[in-house]
Amino acid sequence: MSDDTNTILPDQQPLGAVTFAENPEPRCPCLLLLDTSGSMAGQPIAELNEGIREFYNELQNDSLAIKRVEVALLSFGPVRIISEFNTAESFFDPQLVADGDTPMGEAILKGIDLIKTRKEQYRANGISFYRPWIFLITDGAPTDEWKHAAAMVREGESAKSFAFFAIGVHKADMKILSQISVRQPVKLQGLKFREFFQWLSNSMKSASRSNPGDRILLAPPLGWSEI
Amino acid sequence: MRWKFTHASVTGKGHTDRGEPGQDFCKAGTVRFSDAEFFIGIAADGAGSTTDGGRGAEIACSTCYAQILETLRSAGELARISDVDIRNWITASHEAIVIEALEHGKRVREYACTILGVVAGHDRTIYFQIGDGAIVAGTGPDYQTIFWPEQGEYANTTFFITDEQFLDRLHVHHDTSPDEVAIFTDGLQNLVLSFAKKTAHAGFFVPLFGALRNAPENGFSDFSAQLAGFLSRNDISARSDDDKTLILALRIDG
Repeated sequence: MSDDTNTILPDQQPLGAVTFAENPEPRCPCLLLLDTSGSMAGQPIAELNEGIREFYNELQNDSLAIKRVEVALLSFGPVRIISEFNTAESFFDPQLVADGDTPMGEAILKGIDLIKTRKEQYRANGISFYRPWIFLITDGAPTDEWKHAAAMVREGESAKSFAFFAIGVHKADMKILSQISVRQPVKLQGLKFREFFQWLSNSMKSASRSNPGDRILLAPPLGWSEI
Repeated sequence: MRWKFTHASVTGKGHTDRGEPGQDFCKAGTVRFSDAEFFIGIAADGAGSTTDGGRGAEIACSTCYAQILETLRSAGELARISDVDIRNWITASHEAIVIEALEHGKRVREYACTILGVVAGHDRTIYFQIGDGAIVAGTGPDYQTIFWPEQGEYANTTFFITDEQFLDRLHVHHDTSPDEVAIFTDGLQNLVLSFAKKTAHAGFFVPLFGALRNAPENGFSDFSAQLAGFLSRNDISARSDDDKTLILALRIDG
């Protein structure tokens, strides 16, 4: 505490007596939709697991992000909620296993649902929040009906309910991804999951610091994407 | 009866760390017409993502203040000031920003700012606001928020006097005059309002109004410098790196 606490009106009740309201930190939700289909087996899934661990690590080392950024993990092949929205304080080791097909459409719908529920919880508890981010990471093409999911993504983007980003790995069907995501999908360079998650944690850190009137801008996807 | 007031506006750490100027502005004063004293307090917060939000805040405060003086001069009492007058103050402030933006070939939204205002007389007080920040009024330790900070859907969005539909976002409230009133921008709102209960945190306001009440009459400027020092205190900037503006006014009878 600085000295001016006591120099303000020394002969009266010092302003050091002032107390502050305790409020929950505004939340910055981030949902990861992770492809765990059979084709991800081996090194890709290992690198993805490692990348997510690093991601939590990075967020934990930031005093504001650890209280504000909330991460949820949902894997598909089959669709499973690996972790509900939680701040990085509760570290989560995903230990994803690759098997099954690629029900991307179902995963997206389920993800949008998770976001909607979380927003309702925030509102019910008087917690303010930033626009949620959804990151879809896949190395293939949907094996289920995805047109409806694509329409929901468009609807959510135009209503500014969330921002949806698609990341393609290896032989991902970038054409279908660009029909799902309003924003241009980005191709991951090799298996640079670590670099991607490093970039994502930096982006989340700066977003979680923004004040009213600030525009949240993502840094260009340098160092991990094929651009 | 008269009004005693103080005000301070400090640049947040989020701005000073990046070498940017502050974007809050405020203007407060008292004026006497036909034997009655009025207090006028206006605060505005320029949007963080703009180039000229701080300038917008300055134009909004000065224009609105001048407009209020003019209306008071001709009306003489607050009872004769209607919502139409208040909308005219805000419209004039909006237009003053538009004119400057045009002169400089810039977009109006680069001047985006909120506005909060109080005009207090002997028995009546007018409050108005667009966007976030809040006005708290009452008699310690019993304080009420006049308007709750208006945020958009997300924590980093709000409404501005520069918006096209700015009059739709204008909140106006007429009431009896409070003993104490505080006007502050959003940089302080998380510290002084309890969002879960939607109440003002009396533990913040009681000591401040007490200090203002006891401050020597001829030491107003000193007190506002001390208030600025207080707003820059480490325990405050640790919880809010945004610009912070606070105007306090209290009535002194006799």
